[in-house]
Amino acid sequence: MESIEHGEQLVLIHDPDRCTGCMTCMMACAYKHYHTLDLDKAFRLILEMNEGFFVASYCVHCDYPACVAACPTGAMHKDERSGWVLNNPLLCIGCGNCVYACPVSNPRIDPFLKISVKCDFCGGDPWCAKFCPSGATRVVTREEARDFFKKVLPKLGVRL
Amino acid sequence: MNEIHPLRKRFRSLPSSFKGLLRSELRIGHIYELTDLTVSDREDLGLPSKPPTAYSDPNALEALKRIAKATNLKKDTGFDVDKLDFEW
Amino acid sequence: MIINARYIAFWGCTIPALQPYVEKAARLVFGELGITLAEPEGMTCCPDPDITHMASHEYWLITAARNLALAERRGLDLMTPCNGCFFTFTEAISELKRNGKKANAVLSENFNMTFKGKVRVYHALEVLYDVVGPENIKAKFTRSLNGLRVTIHPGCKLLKYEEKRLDVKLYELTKLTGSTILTYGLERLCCGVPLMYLDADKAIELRTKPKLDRMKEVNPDAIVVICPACHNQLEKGQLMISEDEEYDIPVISLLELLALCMGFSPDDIGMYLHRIPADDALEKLGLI
Repeated sequence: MESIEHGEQLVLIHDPDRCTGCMTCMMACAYKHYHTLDLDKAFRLILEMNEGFFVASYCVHCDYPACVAACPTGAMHKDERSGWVLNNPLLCIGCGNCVYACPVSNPRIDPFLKISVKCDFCGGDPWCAKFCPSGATRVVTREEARDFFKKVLPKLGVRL
Repeated sequence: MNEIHPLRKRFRSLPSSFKGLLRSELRIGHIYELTDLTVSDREDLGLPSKPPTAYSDPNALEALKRIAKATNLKKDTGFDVDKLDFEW
Repeated sequence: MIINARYIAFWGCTIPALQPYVEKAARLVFGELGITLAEPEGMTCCPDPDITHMASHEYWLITAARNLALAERRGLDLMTPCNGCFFTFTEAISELKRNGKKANAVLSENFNMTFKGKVRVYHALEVLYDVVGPENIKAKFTRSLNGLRVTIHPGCKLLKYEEKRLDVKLYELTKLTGSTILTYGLERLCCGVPLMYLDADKAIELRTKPKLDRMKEVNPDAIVVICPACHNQLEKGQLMISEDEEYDIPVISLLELLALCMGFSPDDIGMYLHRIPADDALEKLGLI
């Protein structure tokens, strides 16, 4: 398969100015991966920063992923073509290095499988974006996401 | 079993809130039931006592069941269209 | 001005079953504006944009496609006052246009019809604001709701389609009725419907209660909504927490306010059916 140009790779963004805090994305994520609505099972987290103002913690599929650098077995890898950071469950030994390495701790150890699990972009059609009723969570290209974060992050008190 | 298939996902049936909604969707064709009280309220207001949708049209309800069979709803959710209830 | 428009009014599930007064008000308002509403004959649940869609994508898509194909066969566009139905149909149309082979195969095999992609779906706000226009609505007004203090809850699905600016249209049309819109700071917060599927108590505590608390601080006469699910949830929330705290803020649909402005009496619309009585607000307006 042909590789996708770096700027054209798809990533997720979350716009706190449009998020209503309905938690549909978390329920959709948990349902897609675990067939349950338990919010603890979701691979993303919606947090209330101020009253009625929600921020999200989710995998942005970094250019230089810390989880990949920390993985001792090469299970955690960056897919060359799509740019998504994925985990190979057959190689993962469940050491938990990726959990500590990730700045937002998106990978976590599944208590049942005893290996690391993380956002897998739902294979190209992320359910969090598909079910988001207010359009806060969207799928955009890396290029657009960079412009978006330049606008949004200062609002959240992040110095660029 | 888990020793042979270490990566197998635990089987879970549909969440109970989903079940209630899907059951009424395939039993009456809508999410909410039209009670006798609502019907009389609607008549008092001069509205059609039951909308001409699946509430009063058996063909529309039949169509839903046919769609459920054609899309194999039972495989996804465990809903048996013939019994009108969940198998698992 | 005569508007010659004809739509199939897709009422959905919540409005006919739980809020017949909204359906009545909508019929009166659109009748007064000269818009003919056809009945949604033979249609079913839209179906639910969250639950049914999550449970089975194909079943969701083909049921929506059947409803759309029925409208298409009659050569009419759909108009719905329900945010959920609007969301389902809009998403289903874009999905069908991208990849509608399987859906059309099932439709033609079972019902002898196909979805061609001609039908369009309008939200009631779009019809009121874009097709009719605020000045034409205002021309039909016989009374103004001056002095009515309201808070607005737009609901999440109005924010999805940024280019349609449906939330702005809701504000503009409410302003048109003459009522005073109070800001309470938590306009955007979800009413709690999606969380209800997980845990009803948690949903009320985390979403509905903070919203109602902040609304209570500004002391409104009524809450104006357009989404029937939010309407139901805000009423249900008030009734469920009424043991500790009294709110007693009636939830009124925008369509009811418009019908009141057009000279219909509260009894014409059936406002006595409200679960939280709107008597205080109507008394303030001198309507009862």
